[in-house]
Amino acid sequence: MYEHERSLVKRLAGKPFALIGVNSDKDRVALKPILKKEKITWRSFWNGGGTDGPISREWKVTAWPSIWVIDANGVIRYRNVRGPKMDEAVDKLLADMESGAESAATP
Amino acid sequence: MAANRFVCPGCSTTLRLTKEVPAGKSVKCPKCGTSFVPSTESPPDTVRATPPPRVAAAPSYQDDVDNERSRRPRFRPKRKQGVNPLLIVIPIVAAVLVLAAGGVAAILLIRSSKGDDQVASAAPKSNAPSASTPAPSSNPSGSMPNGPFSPIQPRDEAPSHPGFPPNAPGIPPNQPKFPTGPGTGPPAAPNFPPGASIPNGPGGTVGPMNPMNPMNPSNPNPGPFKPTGKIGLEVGDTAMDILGQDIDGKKFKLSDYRGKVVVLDFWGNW
Repeated sequence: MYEHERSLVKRLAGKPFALIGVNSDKDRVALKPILKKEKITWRSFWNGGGTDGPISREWKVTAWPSIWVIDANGVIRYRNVRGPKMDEAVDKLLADMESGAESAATP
Repeated sequence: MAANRFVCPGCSTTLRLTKEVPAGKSVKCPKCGTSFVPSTESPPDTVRATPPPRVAAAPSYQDDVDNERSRRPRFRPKRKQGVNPLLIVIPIVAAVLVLAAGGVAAILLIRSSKGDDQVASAAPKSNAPSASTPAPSSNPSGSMPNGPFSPIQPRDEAPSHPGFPPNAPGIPPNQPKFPTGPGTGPPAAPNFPPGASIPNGPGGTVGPMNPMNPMNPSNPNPGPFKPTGKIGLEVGDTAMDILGQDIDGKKFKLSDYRGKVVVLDFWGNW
């Protein structure tokens, strides 16, 4: 999983794209060496030390991992897309952004 | 036994003839063997025999009778005294036993009435009259256990029937356990409270509708699975902002990435 995300982040570097994590581990100190070891360069929110943290509670996330794909306007467009589907979803949103930007720019 | 007595001329023993011997026939004495004709000598015997009952024998009998009478009253009273006491004692004993039984029965009746009163006072239902009425019949002791048992049995039966409704509310509490179960463990429980309306919705409908059906996990299952799909944000909703801090403790917001396609990944290193 880390590998796919790393490749996604690497592939979309320079694009209006961000991978944001919400980490629900218990020990934040123990997590840091893992971030280095797994080369997790993207940023993650700290859920408070468990799966019952405030963020997952507010988002009503009951299964992990849980993927939310949000477009540039902050609208949720896809849920729980994994692997190639995640790439397709992100690519489509990026394409829509570019087309939208062009359409917005033309008028 | 009208036996003819006569004396043997040979040995002078008195002999008895069980059978009347025709006149003129000889009779042989069993002791001396002399044969003689009793008829000849029988007249004095017959005279003896016949008159004694009539004349000579009668007084003797009368004497005997008198003696017997004199003796009989002596003995008879004794006999009567010996027999009569038994005849008197037996009914007395029987009467005493009857009285004792009646007294015991009365005591038991009193106790039973008290017990019934206690039961009646303890129990809201007044079964005392029903228990007291059968008591005087014959079995006060039997009515005693029947009295208290009869109210107890309906009590046992009564809770058994209402026992189902208690079980029904006892089962619905398990419903939240079922939703939490398929909802990937304990975290589901704390996550639901904000959206408690939905899990309570199916639980409330299932509970009153079919209190016995909650045993079927199929009913509560769609509850938690549907919330996971519907509760919270869905595709098309605007993502709520996240104000938090990263692993290093630096504060940042999800809205900071507005204008970018964001993949929000709830993850954990487990």
